[in-house]
Amino acid sequence: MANFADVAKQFVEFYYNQFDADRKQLAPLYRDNSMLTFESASVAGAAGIVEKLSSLPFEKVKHAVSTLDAQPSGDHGGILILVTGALLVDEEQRPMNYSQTFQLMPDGAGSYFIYNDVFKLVFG
Amino acid sequence: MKGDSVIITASSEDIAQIQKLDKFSFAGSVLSIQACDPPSPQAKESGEKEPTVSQAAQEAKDRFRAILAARYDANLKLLNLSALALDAGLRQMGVFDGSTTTSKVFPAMMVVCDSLFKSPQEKRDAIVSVSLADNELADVSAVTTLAQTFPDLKNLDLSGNKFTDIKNLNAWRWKFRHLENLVLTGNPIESQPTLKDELLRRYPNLQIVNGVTLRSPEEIAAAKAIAEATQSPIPIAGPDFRDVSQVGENFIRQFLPLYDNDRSALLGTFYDSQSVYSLSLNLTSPRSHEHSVPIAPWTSYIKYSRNLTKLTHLGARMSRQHKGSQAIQQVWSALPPSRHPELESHADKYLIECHPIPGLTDPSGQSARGVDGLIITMHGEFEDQIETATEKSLRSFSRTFILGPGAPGGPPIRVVSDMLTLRAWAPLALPQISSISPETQSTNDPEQQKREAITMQLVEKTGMTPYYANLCLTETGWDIEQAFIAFTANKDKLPADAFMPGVAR
Repeated sequence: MANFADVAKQFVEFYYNQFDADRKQLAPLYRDNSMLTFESASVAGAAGIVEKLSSLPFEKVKHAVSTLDAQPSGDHGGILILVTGALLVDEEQRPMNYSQTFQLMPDGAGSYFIYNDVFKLVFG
Repeated sequence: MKGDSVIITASSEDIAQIQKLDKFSFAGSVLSIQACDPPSPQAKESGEKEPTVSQAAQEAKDRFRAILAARYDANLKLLNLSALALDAGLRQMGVFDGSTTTSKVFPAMMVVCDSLFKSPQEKRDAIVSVSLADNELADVSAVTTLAQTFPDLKNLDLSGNKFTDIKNLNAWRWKFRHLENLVLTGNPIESQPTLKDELLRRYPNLQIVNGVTLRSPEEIAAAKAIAEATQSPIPIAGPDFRDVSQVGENFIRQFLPLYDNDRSALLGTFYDSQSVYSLSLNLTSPRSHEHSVPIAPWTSYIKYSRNLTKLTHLGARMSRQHKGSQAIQQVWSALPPSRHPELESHADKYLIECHPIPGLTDPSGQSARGVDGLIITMHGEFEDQIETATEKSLRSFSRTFILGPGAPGGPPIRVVSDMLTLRAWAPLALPQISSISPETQSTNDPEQQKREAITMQLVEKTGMTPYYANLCLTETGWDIEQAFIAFTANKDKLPADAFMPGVAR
């Protein structure tokens, strides 16, 4: 059995590297039954999610992960991940605290996809 | 010279500037300016590039320089571009022989202007004021490039033109962020009652309109402090409960007081042998300098912290994940007592979201595809009381719960997962309400009257002057609660004159 904590860590590294480099390329991580809730706005499906992420009002973005915690979730090999960290967008000098909860599910082909994704800015 | 073309040599820096004159109409003919590419064999040998610029263009550039020099006042740092149509030099060049020519001549002049300065700093130092008075401008489309050439302008004179509406200035809606002084006298727009308010809203550093001082630099600084506290590049949404039969809401309402007062009762109510809890500490969360309250030591928490970016040892990872109410009880009894703000009266201290999620493990084992549950994310603050510390210390947290139906014989609703992250205290981001529409209303407008009433309420509540109350409300989308929160967070930074005389702060 794959170690869920290592999966979580690898996933988070990959996700934010890809997000910061080109968030339009995140589609393979979502599926049609995936759900993203970004600042209370919910979008379902990989295409809609990537459209939502691409339309966010910033060009440059850098995530710095401060904490990562993960728990196994459910009988089907799911993983629940809570990330907190700092976010810098465009020319903004003040980093913003954010919190993001992911629920990963195995895709049946030895990998995982994002089933649920809840993003929240927690401090101005 | 080849026919009507001229080949000139220019440095590579100048090529770009000169090429901006391409396609400009000059003395009745359209100029064509092209860089020679590939360069001639000689040029290749000597390593030089030879762009082609018509002699006429070079002459035009020299004349523009002369005209600009004559219109520049070094003492006042003023570039006086007023009444360009009456300029003898420009008339001599024949550029004002048609009504459409302003749109060509002005950008060309700005290009030449730009080329006179080696750096943006040099330009800022040389020119702080520009006059475009008496140019018969009905809107700013012909002169819009002024904003690109002089983005940091402090004083702008637009008097004696033909502006009839604030919309005529819309091309500069987001430009001139450093503008302090604007003159619009002698325009039909001058008589519009809402003009000044709209200009103050558009230009964050604007102090003087038509010679009248409308706000001081201190007032601007105070308004910025309020705006900073209430804005972030990503719009922040308020609490959002997409609940199922108020299960999530009721859970949170019971959870908070029980966690503070009786953790073992809480475990009995919502946790069972399959519930998983873990805690991690964020010791590097950014805080703005005004929130630098001392951070109480994390000693009581650190040994439980399960931050997987730091923790690599498998044993530690497993031992810091606590499964079952008994194991959780051991941790919770070792953590310092806590005090969360009351949810009903301090809703502003929480950001909570709740969404249904399918596919949880069915504790009764009946459904293979799982059962429906809820995912709750909660952000807020609490005080804790460490035995050795004399004072209560404030901390911020983010907590994610997965709730699902309980197993037969257990609690009806159970916590499947509970993940807590703690960090140094900082106030929560305030939800941003979309700002009011830029169109302002007359005082007969019921909306305007409503705003005046809200303003007076805030004045009464805070002791601020109506002016400051209005500023604060404008920044917070006319939501009196948000305005009051912003006020509370910033009142120490407001100048004395922000308050009504005789009001104790």
